[in-house]
Amino acid sequence: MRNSIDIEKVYDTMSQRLYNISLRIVGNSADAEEIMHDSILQYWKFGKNQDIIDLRKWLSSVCIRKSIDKLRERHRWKDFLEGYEDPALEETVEEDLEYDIQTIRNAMASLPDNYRMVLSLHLFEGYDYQEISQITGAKENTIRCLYMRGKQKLAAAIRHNRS
Amino acid sequence: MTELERYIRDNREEFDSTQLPSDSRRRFMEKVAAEKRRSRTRFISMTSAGIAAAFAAFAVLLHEPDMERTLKRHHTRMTEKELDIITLAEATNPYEMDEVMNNIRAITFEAIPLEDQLPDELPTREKIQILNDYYNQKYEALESLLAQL
Repeated sequence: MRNSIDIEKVYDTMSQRLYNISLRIVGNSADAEEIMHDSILQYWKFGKNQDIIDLRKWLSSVCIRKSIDKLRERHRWKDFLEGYEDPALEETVEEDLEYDIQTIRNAMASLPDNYRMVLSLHLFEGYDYQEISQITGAKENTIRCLYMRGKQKLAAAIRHNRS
Repeated sequence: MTELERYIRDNREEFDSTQLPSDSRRRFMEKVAAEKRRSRTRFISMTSAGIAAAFAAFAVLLHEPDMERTLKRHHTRMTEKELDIITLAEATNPYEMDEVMNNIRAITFEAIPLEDQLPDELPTREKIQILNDYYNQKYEALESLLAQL
């Protein structure tokens, strides 16, 4: 039987993390809040039927999938992810950039949705290229190229914010 | 690993410090309350339907077993279980729907329905018992599939 006290505890423990995960992917506060709410509600409605060993990981995974679905609603998915293969792409040589949380956060927020999504999943959520490829339906090489280009753009945005 | 990647990895928790919009908790609890109201409405409808079904079942017990009613009951129950699985799969694992649908089909598909294969000379009570056992196995398999999602 669903217990409202339990769900309040889950909300208080997990809401900020889930909101931030979603905000990094979808890029706006209203959508991120709605996705965070829906993720916790999903646990409340269906979680008792499942053998959840790691609630934090389960909720994060649900939140990520819902965030990607939100991007699917916004974009023509094929165009969103394809056409980025670039065999000549090389690892960015980072100059002496100084990093801080807010500068990186602002730089991420300034990126286009597709780069920001791939960077969020790989840099922040620890998904490898194969996992991102499975979730998004894009080829692994496409994800790798999006990531490399995304990092270049992120570095440029950080440099711009610093100057 | 680059310096940027290392910095993010080492300070990962700090990146989750953006505060929630004000009143977010209140909005969430309103959604919880709305969902509870929907659940209560569904429960009342199901309870009324359940009571009606109980009376109908009692009436059936007083009479000869009915193949048509048995089959209808089983087909309805199978459909409900399939819908539960599909609803949960769509909510938790929408990218693996093909696999879920294949699993459902593997459990429920019948090239020739069992009821058409049973000998005519078999008494109706025995046919119904065979069908009940047959469909109970399918329900167990569907429950097992639901638990895996």
